[in-house]
Amino acid sequence: MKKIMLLLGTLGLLACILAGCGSQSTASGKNVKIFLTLNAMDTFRQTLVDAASERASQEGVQLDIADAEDVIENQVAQIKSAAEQGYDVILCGAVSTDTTVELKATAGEIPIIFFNSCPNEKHLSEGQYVYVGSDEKVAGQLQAEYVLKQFADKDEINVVLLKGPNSHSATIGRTSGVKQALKASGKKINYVFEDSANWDTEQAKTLFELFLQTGSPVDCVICNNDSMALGVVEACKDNGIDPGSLPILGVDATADGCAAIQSGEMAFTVYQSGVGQGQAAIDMAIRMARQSGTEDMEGITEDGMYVWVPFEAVDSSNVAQYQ
Amino acid sequence: MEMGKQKKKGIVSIKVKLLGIILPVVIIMMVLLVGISYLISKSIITENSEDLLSSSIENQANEIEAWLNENLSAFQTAKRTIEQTKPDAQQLQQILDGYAGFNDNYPEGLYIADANGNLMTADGSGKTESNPTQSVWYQEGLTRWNMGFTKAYTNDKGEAVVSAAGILKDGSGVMKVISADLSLERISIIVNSFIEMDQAQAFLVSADDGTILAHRDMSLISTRLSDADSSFMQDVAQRLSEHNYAITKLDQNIVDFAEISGTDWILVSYIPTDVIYADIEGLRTLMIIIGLVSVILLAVLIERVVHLVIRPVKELTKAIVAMTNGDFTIRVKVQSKDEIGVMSRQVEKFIVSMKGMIASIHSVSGKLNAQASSSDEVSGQMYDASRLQSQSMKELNNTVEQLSLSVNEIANNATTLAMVVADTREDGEQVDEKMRATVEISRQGKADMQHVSDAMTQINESVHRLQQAIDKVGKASEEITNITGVIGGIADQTNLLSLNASIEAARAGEAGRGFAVVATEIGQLAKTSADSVHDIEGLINEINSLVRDAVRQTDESVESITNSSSLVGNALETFDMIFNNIDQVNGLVRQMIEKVEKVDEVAGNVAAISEEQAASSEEILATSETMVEQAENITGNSESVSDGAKELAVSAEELTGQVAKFKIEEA
Repeated sequence: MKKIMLLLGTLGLLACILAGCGSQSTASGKNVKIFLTLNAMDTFRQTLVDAASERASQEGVQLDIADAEDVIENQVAQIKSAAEQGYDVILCGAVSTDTTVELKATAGEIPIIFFNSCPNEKHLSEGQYVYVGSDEKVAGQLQAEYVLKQFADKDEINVVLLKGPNSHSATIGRTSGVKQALKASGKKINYVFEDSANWDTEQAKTLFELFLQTGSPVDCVICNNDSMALGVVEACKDNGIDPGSLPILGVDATADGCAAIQSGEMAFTVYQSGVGQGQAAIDMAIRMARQSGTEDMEGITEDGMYVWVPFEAVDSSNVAQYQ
Repeated sequence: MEMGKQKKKGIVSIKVKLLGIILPVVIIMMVLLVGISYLISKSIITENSEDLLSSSIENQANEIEAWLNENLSAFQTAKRTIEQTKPDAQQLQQILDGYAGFNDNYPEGLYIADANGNLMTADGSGKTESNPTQSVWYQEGLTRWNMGFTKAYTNDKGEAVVSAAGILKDGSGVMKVISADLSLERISIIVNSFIEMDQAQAFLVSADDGTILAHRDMSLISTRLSDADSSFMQDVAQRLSEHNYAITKLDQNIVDFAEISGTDWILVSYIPTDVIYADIEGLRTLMIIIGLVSVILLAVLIERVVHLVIRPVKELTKAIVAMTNGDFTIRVKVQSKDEIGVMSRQVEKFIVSMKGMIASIHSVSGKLNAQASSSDEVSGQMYDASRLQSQSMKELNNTVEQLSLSVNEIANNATTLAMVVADTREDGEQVDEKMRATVEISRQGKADMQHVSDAMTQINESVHRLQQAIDKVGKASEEITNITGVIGGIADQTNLLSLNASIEAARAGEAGRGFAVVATEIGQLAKTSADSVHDIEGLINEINSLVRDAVRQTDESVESITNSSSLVGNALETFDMIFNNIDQVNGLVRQMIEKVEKVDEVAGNVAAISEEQAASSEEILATSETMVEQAENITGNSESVSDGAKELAVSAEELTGQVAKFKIEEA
C-alpha cells in the first residue's frame, strides 16, 4: 500500500513539475499567440475586433484575425490551420453554434473563447471552452425595468412583443429576461401581440400593422432588437400614430436606433459593448494561455464558463454618448 | 481419541490458525472491495444517469419541438396558401375539408373564425364553438400572425386541448383567426413516447401558469402543478418559479428540465433514484453473494490444502504422541521429500536409537534393582547390630555413671576427712604452741618467782637499813632542836640589844638617826631569826613524828615482807610443780601432733587419689557418653542407610516399572 501511495505521490509531483515547466514557457506575454475567427464582419463585430486588436497590442500579444464570411467550412479550415500553427488560444465568433463540437475537435487541445453567439452550455467547460459576451437576459431585464418605470402607476400593461428567430439564443435570452422581469413585478401583463419578426424591420412593420388591425389596446412595444423597433416606428408613422406617444423599445443601440431615440421616435435601447467584449476576450485569452487562473477575471461566472460584459441602458437622457 | 482430547485442552491446530488468520483478512478485503466498488459504481451510475437523463430530455425536447414544428409548419403552410391564394368561400371550404382527417394529430383539421363570430370548419369535423370570438384560441390567435400554441384549455367537446392559432391575413378586411386543435392526451402520448431513457418519466408544463400539458397520468392534464398533492410536484413547481432548470435531485428523483423553444413550455423529465440504483443494488447483492461464496470456497480450499499439507505432520504427531505415551513400537511412514519428510526420517531414527537406549536402561535397572534389594537387606542387619551396640553402650554408660557417682562420693568424703585431719593437726599445732608458751610463761613465772624471792630478801635488808637510817635521823633532829634553842636565845638577846640601841638612838636625836635605822634592822633580823628558829622547830617536830611513823611502818613492813617471803617461797614451789605438769602435757601434745600429722598425710594422699579416681571416672563417663552418642549416630546412620537402601530399592523398582512402560517390542 505504502509503495503505491509513494508511487502516486511521485507521479503527482512529477506532473506538477512538468505542468510548472509548461506554464513557465508561456508565462511571458510576448509569446502568447491568439487567433480570431468571426462569422462575418458587421458594424458591431468591427467594433469588437478593433477593441480586441488594440488591447492585444497594449498587452504585447500576437493577434491574427480571419473572417469566415458566414461559411462554416471556412471557419473550420481557419481553425485547423490555427491549430497547426500552434496558437495558444482561439477566439471564435461561430458561424453556427450548432458546429461547436466540430470546432472544438478541430482546435484539438487549444482552448476556445466563443463570442458574439453563445454555444449550448453543455459544450462549455471552465478554462477550456468559455463564452465572452453579454447576458441576453440582462438586456431583456433592462427593457422590463424601463417599461415598469414608465408604467409604475398602472396595474395592467398591454405589451406588444416582437422577437427574433424562435431558436436564436438572443431571442430566447432577451424574451425570457423581459417576460420574467415583468411577471416578477406582479402587474397584469397582457401580451396583446407576440410574434417573431426575425430581426427584420419590414417584417416588424407588417406585423405591427397587422396588430393595429386587431384593434387591441397597446401601451408599449418591446422588440428584441432595434431594427424591429424601427419597423414599428415606421408602421406607426404610416398609420398616423405618433411614435413618441408609444414607448418603443429595442436592443443593440445601433446608429439608427440611437438616432430614433434622439428624435424621440424610439424610447429605449440597450447598448451591447462591442469594445468591452473585445477587450474582455483578449484579457481572458491571455489568462488562459498563461494558465494563470481565471478567477480574478471581471464578470466571470462562478462555474467559470461565462464572462459577462455588462449591457448599458440607453434612453434620451444618455443617447448622445452612444452615437 | 487421545489427540481429540488434547485438542479440547486448548491446542489450536495449524488448520484453525491458518483459517483464523486468512479468513478474516479475506473477509475484510471482500467487504472493502464490495463497499468501494459499490460506492464507486454508485457515483458512476449517478453521473451516467444524470448524463443520460440530460441527453434524454434534450433529445425528447428536440423531438417534441420537431413534432410541434412539423404540425405547426403544416398549419402554417395551409395558412400561407390561403393568404397567398386568397380563395373564395367555396375554395376555402375545400381547403379546410382537405385538412380534415388528413392527420391523426389534428383530426378536425383547421378552422377559421372571423371578428363577426362566423366559424368555418371542415365538413364532417365535429368542431363546434358557441361563441368563437370569445374562445381562447381566437383571443390568443389575435396576438400573432405566425401560428403559435395557445395555453391549454377545454374545448366545447370537453377535450383538453391546445390550439395552434394565428391571424389569417387574407386581405378581406375582416379580422380572421385560423386555428387547429391538438389534444393534450395525444401530446402526452407523444411526449412520453419520446423518452429515451428507460423508466424515466416526463411531463410538460407551461412555464407561464404552471398548467400540466402532458402527463402519463391523464387525470393530471390541464391541472396546475402547484395544485398537485405530491411534494415532488410542489418541488418542481418551486424550481420552475425560480427559472432554475439545472439538473437536480428532488424527492428521490433525478430531475432535469428543458425549454421547448417556440413555446413557453417546460419539459420535465425525471427518474426515481431507486430505479437507477436497482441495478447497482442487484450488483451489490451479487457481489456480496460472490464474496460469500468465494470466502466459503476459499475456506474449504484452505482447509483441504492445509489438510493435505499437514497430513504427514499428523502422522508424525501421532508417532510423537505414541512416543510420549512410551510406545516406541510405532513406525513413521516416510513418503514426502519435503521438510516434513526429513522430520519424519529423523523421528524414525530417533525411535530406533531410543529403543536401544531404553533396552539397555531396562537391563541396567534390573541389575540395579537386585543390588538395591541386597543392599537393603545388609543395611537392615547393620541397623539391628548397631542398635544392639547402642543399647549396650547405653547400659555401660549407666554403669560408668553410677561408678563415677560413687567415686566422686568417696573422693568427697576423703577430701572432707583430709580437711578435718588437717584442721585437727592445725589445732594440735596451736595447742602445742600454746603449750610451749605456757611452758615458757611457767618457766618465766618460776624465774620471776625466784626474782621476787630475791627481791623480797633484798627488800627485807633494805628495810632493815632504812630502820637504822631513820633512827640516825631521829637522833640528828634532837641535836638540831638543841642548836635551834641556842639560836633562839641569841635572837632574843639581839632583839633586846636592837631595842636598847633604838632607845639610845632616839635619845641621841639627830645624830642617832642612822644608828636608829641599823638598830631597827638588827631588830628585824633578830625577829626573823627568831621566827625561822621557831619554824625549824616545828619542822623538826614534824620530822620526828614522821620518822616515828616510818619506823613503825618499817617495822610493819619488815613483818609483812617476812610473811611474803615465806608465801613466795610456797608459790615457787607450786610453780615448780605446775611447770613440771605442763612440761609433761607438752610432751604428750607433741606426740599427739606427730601422730595427727601422719594421719593428715595419709588422708591427703587418700583425697588426692580419690580425686584422681573421680576425674578418671568422669573421663570414662564422658568417653562412654561419646561412645553412646556415636553408637546412636551409627544407629541413625545405619537407619538412613537403611532408608536410603529402601528408597534405592523403591527407585530401582520404579525405574524398572518406568522402563517397562516403554514398549520396544511388539506385543
